[in-house]
Formats: sequence, C-alpha cells, structure tokens
Amino acid sequence: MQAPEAVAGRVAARTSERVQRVLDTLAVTDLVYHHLAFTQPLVDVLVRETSRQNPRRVIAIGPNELLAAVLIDLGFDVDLWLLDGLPLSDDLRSRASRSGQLEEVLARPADILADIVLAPYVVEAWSAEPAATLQLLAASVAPGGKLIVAVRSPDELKRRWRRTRGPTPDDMPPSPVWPRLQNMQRLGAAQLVSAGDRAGLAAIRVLRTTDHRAFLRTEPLSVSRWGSKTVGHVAKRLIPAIRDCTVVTYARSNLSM
Amino acid sequence: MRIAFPYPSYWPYVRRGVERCIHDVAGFLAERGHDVHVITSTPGRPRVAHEGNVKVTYVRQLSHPLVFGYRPRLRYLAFAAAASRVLAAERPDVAHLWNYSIPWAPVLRSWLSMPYVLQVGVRGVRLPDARNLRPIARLMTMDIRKANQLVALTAGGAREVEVKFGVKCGVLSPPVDMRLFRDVAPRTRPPVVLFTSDLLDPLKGSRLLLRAWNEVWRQMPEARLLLAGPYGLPGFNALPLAHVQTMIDDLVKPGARAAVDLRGPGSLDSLPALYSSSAVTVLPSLGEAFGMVLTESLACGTPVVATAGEGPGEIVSSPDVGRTVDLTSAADLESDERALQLADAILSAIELAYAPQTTRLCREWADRWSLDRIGAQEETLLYEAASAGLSLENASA
Repeated sequence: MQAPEAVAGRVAARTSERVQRVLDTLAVTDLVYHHLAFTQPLVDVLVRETSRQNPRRVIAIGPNELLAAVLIDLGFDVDLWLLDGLPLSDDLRSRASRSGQLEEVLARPADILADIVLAPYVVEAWSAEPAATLQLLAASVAPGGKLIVAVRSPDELKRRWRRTRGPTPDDMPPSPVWPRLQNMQRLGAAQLVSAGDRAGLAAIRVLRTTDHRAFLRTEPLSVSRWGSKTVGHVAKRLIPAIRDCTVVTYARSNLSM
Repeated sequence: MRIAFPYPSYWPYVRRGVERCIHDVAGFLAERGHDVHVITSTPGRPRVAHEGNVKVTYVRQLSHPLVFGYRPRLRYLAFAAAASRVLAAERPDVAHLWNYSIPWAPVLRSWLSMPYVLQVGVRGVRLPDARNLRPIARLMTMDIRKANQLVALTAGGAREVEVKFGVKCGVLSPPVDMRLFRDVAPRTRPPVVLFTSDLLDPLKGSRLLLRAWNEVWRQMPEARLLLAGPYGLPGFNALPLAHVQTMIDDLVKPGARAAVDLRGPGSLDSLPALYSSSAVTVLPSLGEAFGMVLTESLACGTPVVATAGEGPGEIVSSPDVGRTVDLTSAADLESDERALQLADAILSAIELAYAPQTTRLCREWADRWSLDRIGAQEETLLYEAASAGLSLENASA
C-alpha cells in the first residue's frame, strides 16, 4: 500500500503538469501568460478538487482564461458564467451561458444543474450574508454534486504584515487575471464552515493554499525585494495559517458526508 | 531554399507588426515550396510547433524579476544565444533577421556560411544614430552595418538608415493579407472608433487618443471607442493590466467613459470584422517604421487616422483613405492642442467612412502592400542574399 501523502503528491504533480501543458499552448499574449503563470497554484488546486469528484458537468463562475481552458481540456461539460472587466478569448466568450456583473450572473440558479459549481473569490465579493450566498450557489448544484469556493484569507501573511502598518486594502484584486471583484467581507476558514452549516451544506474538505507563486516573473525587483518575496513564500509553504487562500468543498448535509 | 526567421517574440505571445509580418511572409514562402523555420521564444517551456508547413521552434525566454530589474536587455542576448544554437544545428541557406534578432549575425554568417537579410523595423526615436554610439553600442549594431541585404519598411525609412549608418538600404514593406483582411462586415451605426495597438506602449499614442476622445464624444455622443489592443509587453512596460482601466478613468471624462469599450487583444480571426464594422482606425504613434494596423484597416475598407510623419505618413498620403495629425515629439502625445487636432481628424475620417466610394478606395490603396506582391519581393531578396553569400564563399575558397 502506498502512503496517502505519496498518492496525493503524485495526483498534485499530475494536475500541475496538465495545467502547465495547457498554459504552454494557450493563445495569450506574454503579459497575460506571465500573470496566469503567477496565479497558477490556485488553478492547480481548483482543478484537482474538481477532478477528484469525477464530474460530468461543471459550472465555473468568474473563471480566468487558464481555469476555463483546463476544465475544457479535461473533457468536462463546462458552463462558463463570466464576469465583466476581464478580457477573455473569443472562444471562451462564445462558450459562456452568462456574462455580466456578479449580481446579473447570480440572479437565478442554473437551468441545468451541475455536478460541480466552482466559485473562486465570489463569496467574499457578495454583500449578502455568506450562508445566503452559499445557498444561492448551491442551488445550481445537482443532487450528489459539490460546491467548491475559494476565498482570500484574512490572515494571509501580506495582510498580517499590512495590518501592522495601517488599514488593509480589502478591495485589492487578487490578481489582474481574475475578475476585479471588490472584497466586501473577510471570511476565514471557520466562518466558511459555519456559514455552510447554516446553509445546509457540509464542508467536506477545507484546504489552506497559496493562490500565487512567489513573484511575477516580469515584475522588476531589486535583490532585497526578490529575497523578501521568496522568503515570504517559503514561510507560507511551511505555515498553513498564513497562506493566501481557503478552498472549501461543500456537499449537501443530507446527501453526502 | 531553407530559410530561417530568428526573432525573440512571435505569436501567440506578441502580435505586433514584426511578428505579424514574419507570420505572413513565412506562410507565403512555405506555400512556395521553401523550407521555412521560425525560431523564437516562449515564456513557457521550450517546444516545437507547426503552423501549416512552417516549423516554429520556441526556445526558453530569460524571464526573471532580477533580469527585468537590472538588465532587461539581457533577454535579447539570451535569445540570440539560444537561436544561434538552433541555427548552428539547422544550417539554413539564408536567414531573415530584424533588429534585436542576433546582434552578432556577421560572426554567425562566417561560421555557418549563412548569408542574411536584415530588415530594419524601427525608425525615428527608436532607431539609434550609429554615428553617435559608443564602441560597445556600435558593436551591437554590426548586424545592420554588415548585412548581405539591408532593407527598411518604407523609402523614408531607408533614407534614415542610410543617413544614420552610412550603408545602402533598400525597401521591403510589410505585407497585408488581402484575402484575410477584407470588408467582411457592414459598417455599423453609430460609428465605432477603433484602436488595436498596444495600450501601454507610450509611443503608440493611446493617452493622446483617450484625451481626444472627450472631444469626439462631446461632438458625437453616439460614437463608441473600441480599445482592442494588447496590454503592454514585459521588458518594455511593467505596469499591471489594471493600469489600463486606471488610465481610462484618469483621462476620459465620466460621460465619455461609458462609450469606451475595453475589449482586449482578441484573436486574429476577429480583426477583419472589427476593422470592417468600424468607421475609423486610429494610430497616433511616434517612432513607427510602418504601421501595419493602418494597411490592415485599409484592406478592410476602413479609413484611418495616423501621424503625418514617419511610416504612417508614407501610408496615409491620400485624403481619400484617411487623415493625418502632425506629431513629432513625445510632448505632442501629451498636448491638449494635439488632442483637439486628433479629435477633428477622427470626426472628419468618420464622415469619410460613410462616403460611398471610401471602402473601395481604401482597399485599392492597400493592394500595393498585398502579400502576393511583397511575398514575391521577399523571395527575390532572399535568393539574391543567398547567391551573394555563395559567391562570397566561393571567392574565399
């Protein structure tokens, strides 16, 4: 028998290789390429969590170019709900069943329910109570399906550091290749789990992860700034509590656990 | 002939003039039965791809924050070294180089018996004057001075090269594929003003256009501005993508802002419809050796507005196909007076766009740069360079 960690490591490496392969051949300008590569770790995690469920149909709300392209490459029946303010390829636009502001896109549940609904950076950008938002998102999940959300962590290293020096700019977009959503509330892992409980959803997996690489390869840096970014990234890899992002997979409480 | 096109950037990562030019000419030559190899770089992992009969080798780019922070131009040298290794393995009959391809091309020519054509793709403020360069910088331009065949993109560009480098320079303009770029969609009303160049390249004039847009919108509130260009290039401009929206918010007044559509670069396939349906394509740039945006737009039957000097001025030399604005320095790109002049030119070109003969006249004008004509000139040039290289080799033997 192989150790579960070894199996998980191999699955992670395979997913990462697949995402990288799609990125290598994506028809994007090099500036966009570098930004997508910068934020690839979160895409790796979302794709891994999605693949784990062997879904047939996936709804991706506010995906970036890479996440959408990898889901399509994996052969899922992908329904894209695109958010305004993020230029995407014509090919992806043509596949979208909805596009607009977050309020418009989430105005009603999906016409055809999906095995997986993916919603990166959406819950904290919605002014409603998190349980209500989770309920709204879960309304598009088919029976037995899963809801996967990614939320920027209020306790990440950079925010902790900024808090020591003044107010934290919560409206900062996570990255220029994700939709520019305003951060309306700060949600930690515990709040997400309890919000799920109130919404009738069980958090079956909670992952703390980094949502980007140590540095953007095209960002001009001095040796000291490059060094501090690298050290900060290594620290995040070692200490889960200061990682950037929380990814939670929910199932309906009465259907699976 | 076995022909190599080494150039650091290429599709899909960069889609400016030189890359488009290489793509179109390489495809033309491959169709004519030549063995064509584009050698370029990728921000991802090295790979080999095929575009029809054209082989494309992507070598790894040197992209690191410390390189961008201290010596961004090291990236060109890293590419030149990697491309030299590929050329040494392939030993093509002739190579077509551009600025920044391989600075030590004359050395490579002697080593590999590989003659080369060099096309100078920059001019004005972007082209250094070799007479004022220090010895090391002069060394970096030996590829220009020692080329078997040296060509610029226009007659004016060739004169500038001859003055700055003291060498003979011919003309080979970039082509426009008239089969791809044609009037495929009816011109829309209300009118659309199109900008397809790099929004973050300060010399392309996007800031001037955004300032001018306030006046265009004041006089014609139904018009729309469509920004369909890429967002900056690593090494040239490190501003984040979000800076584009900030730039629009800073320069365009709130009412006029609602009529600005930030579309992003999109795909090549979408361009002909964009050009055709627009009323005017605008390129208020400086240091422009040619302006392929202009010939593409004209091929689609859409008039243009461009600077009166340099390459664009040589393209837009008839009032039947567009309007020009005098732009000569970087200060002009920040000038309110020039912004008003640009607005007038855009409004005049919109009027021209809806005149009955305009589509036909624009397309006829663009035909002089058609891929069939320019491709044939390119083929002749490469044959001449290759045979000159052979003669040199025989003479030295």
